[in-house]
Amino acid sequence: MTRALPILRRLGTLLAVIVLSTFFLSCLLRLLPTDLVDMILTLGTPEEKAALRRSLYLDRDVFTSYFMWFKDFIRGDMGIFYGTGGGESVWSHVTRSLPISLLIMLYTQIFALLVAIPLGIFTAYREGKKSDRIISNTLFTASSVPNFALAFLLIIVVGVKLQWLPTLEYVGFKESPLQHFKHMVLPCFSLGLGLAASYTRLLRTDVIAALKDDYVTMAASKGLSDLRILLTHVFRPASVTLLTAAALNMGALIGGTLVIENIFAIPGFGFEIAYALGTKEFVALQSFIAITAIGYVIFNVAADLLIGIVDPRTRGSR
Amino acid sequence: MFQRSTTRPRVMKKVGAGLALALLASTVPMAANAAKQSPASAAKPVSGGKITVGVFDTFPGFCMKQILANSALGGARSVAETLFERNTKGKVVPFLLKDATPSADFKTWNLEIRKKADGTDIQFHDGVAWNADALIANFNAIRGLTYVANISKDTDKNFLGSTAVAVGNVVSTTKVDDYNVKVTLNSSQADFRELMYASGRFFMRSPGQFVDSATCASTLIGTGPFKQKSVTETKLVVEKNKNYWRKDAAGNKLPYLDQITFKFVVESASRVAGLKSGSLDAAQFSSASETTQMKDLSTSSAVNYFKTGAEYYPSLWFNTSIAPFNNLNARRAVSYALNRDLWAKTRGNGINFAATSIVGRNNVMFSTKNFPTFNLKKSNEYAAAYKTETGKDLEFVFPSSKDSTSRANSKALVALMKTAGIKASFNEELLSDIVNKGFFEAGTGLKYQAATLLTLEGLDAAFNYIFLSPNMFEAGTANPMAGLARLGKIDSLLNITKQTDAQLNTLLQAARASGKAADYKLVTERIQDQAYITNITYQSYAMATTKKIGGVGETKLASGGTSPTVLNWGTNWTSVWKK
Repeated sequence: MTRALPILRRLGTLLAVIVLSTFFLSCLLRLLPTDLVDMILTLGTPEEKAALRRSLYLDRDVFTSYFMWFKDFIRGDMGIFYGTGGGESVWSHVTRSLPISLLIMLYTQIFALLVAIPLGIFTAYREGKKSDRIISNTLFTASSVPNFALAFLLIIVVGVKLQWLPTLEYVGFKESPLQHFKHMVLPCFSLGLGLAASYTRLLRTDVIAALKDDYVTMAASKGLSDLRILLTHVFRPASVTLLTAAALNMGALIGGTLVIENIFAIPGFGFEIAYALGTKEFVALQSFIAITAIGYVIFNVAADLLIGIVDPRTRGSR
Repeated sequence: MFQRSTTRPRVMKKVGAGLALALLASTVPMAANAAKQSPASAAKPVSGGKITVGVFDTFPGFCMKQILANSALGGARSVAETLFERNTKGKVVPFLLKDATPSADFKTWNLEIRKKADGTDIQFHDGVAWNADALIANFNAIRGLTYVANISKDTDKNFLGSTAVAVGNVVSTTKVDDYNVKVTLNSSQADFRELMYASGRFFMRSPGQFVDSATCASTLIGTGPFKQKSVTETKLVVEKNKNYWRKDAAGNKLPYLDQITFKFVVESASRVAGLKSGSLDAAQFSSASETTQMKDLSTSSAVNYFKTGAEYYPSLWFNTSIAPFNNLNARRAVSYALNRDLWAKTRGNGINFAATSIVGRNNVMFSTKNFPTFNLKKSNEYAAAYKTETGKDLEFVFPSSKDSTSRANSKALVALMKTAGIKASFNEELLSDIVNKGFFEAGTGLKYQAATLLTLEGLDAAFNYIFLSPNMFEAGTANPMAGLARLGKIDSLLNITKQTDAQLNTLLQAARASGKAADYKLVTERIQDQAYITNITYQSYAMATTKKIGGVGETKLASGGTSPTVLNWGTNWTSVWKK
């Protein structure tokens, strides 16, 4: 029970954050500088507009309206896309696009971590040496390049000039595993390079700090190899910040995918958000943003739990 | 139909960007619209293959309410075909019709249905025959009668579109026999063929598509060379119609391609890169905001590049129902203050060109008479006259969308006005709001003091007429839709400036009755004299393909002649093939 309490506490916090964030969104919808119903049913009769207002719960007070919407939302009833003749449900868009974006985010994180972990440890181990300076400065430069600029640069060089990789579209894994990964390289690299740089710098700092701890000196005095000390005694405690950053960056990645998916014409969740924004599909947008908020909170809670496992010292304090 | 007014982001961008657009093409012979011919076109066509086309518009649906913008329209036109087509000479010729014969007074038209070469019926993709019943079903849908018949069920209003206003002159359609339909008009219209071409927008759907509102929006069933395979808002996939009714000159089955994917790629730079990397086989562009990309492609040896003539005429529309533009002096002051040459130079990137009329040189309405060319002295005089009349300084607010091109254009317009001493400012709004308020606010019309919108285009007058007429439902018309119009539901959809100029209306009707250029020029001169709208530039569209694509601009028309290489909606994909 004692061990379950922090988890329950975190889940309670998660629920509270989700409710507050989606409630805030619900309020925003009412603050639009235009009447949502008029926008959807420009040519509608007053009766039709009233009916739509009822179905969107806009005829209720803000709290009732929110809870009615939330009830529908958790049941997967997120309304429809009005600009398409009412034929498409928002949920169908979510199920179609969200897995694509999650996959991009997963690949991006894997790429970033695969780059950052060895480089972070290596540069910390070689602190102050020429190799450290070169790698650190290179990564500093890389992290300063916006992902959309990097995307266009990669498209021009790798896609257009060298013709090595496709520059547009998404191919499902089942459709063609090879094409799937070929299409994922440029978007994930564009999104992941900056992350890899940040992660490397974070890890380097933590590893340097950990290397100065007494238990490391103790381990060294016992004659353990540098590699074993680094991986067993240093990396684990030093990775707490990295894990936290990785979880927090999942939220940032959602914003990143919005841009990158549009550049590479990938029909993911970011692409859907941009589409809903551009076409004023505010009903859909409300659900999209709510899902984003929920995802952000879940990633953070998951990170907290994971950190508790990695570093038991933090369990009580987080 | 009116792709300019779509709520899709691209079109919105275009509307906002309309100010910047400039066209030159009024000076470019239309036959020369293919900037570079494909070397592949000399080779023998190959059947098979799949291609992906990058487009700049989305696919909102296919019923009367949904407005397919430029490049999305091109996708739909690969599935559904029109009664008439335009050939390379600019003439509108029968396509799904065999002929269209008017009475002497142009008040009734006999439309004869085309059959296959072997005398059997052309069929829609669902097997329904293309005949008089199908034509009448389409007329009913276009006119809004299908909406009225389904009014209690069509809560999404998919059956109601601005097309109902556009064909307000149609009073009735009568089946003569299985292959002939008589169309009765309220008043004479000599260019009825051009109206029904509607710049390529009045495509014929199977009656099966009208079975219910949702189906009408989601499923396009035409007679075209390709069938709808799947569609989302951002992707239309069409596959070969193996039973297509036409063959090529050598007797081979058309079309050549097995499949086309029209994919919405919002970033123009991504479309260019997609072409050059081979991720796309073709891509389309608009000079509304993509002149940089068009310039790049026009000089690239990696692609074949095709550009339309300057046949698209974005306008500054003045709301004549409210101050300050209910005052002629105010409209003239602004019109004379527009330094169009400077605009074309600074904002047109060498692709858009300064306007000299409200339409381009090749349009039947073209006339430079009364067009207020840049003249600061006159502008100042009219602004002073406005102040004398009203006691107020001339100032106005117009809407601008939030994309960078539109914002830059709006700032440029403000700067031009400032030079003339006129205080202009803009409010940033969602482009779809601008469009909706510009077109679709029933009973009230344009909500702004002025707005830039792209509606005028092409070579004929029939399509432009509908935006300029103060009265598409004439008094005493037997068109049942006039009832809705009187209720304020649809009458003002297209009268953007809200002008009620009886003299202009008379001129318009006379021109429509005669169809003669001389009469339409009088219309233009009246509009320019009264400055209801003014234009800054003319714009164009372009398409580029990889070198592997052949047959662009080689589609022969059913009545002889060839389709233009490209128009705003792209190309006719029937003859296109891939190496």
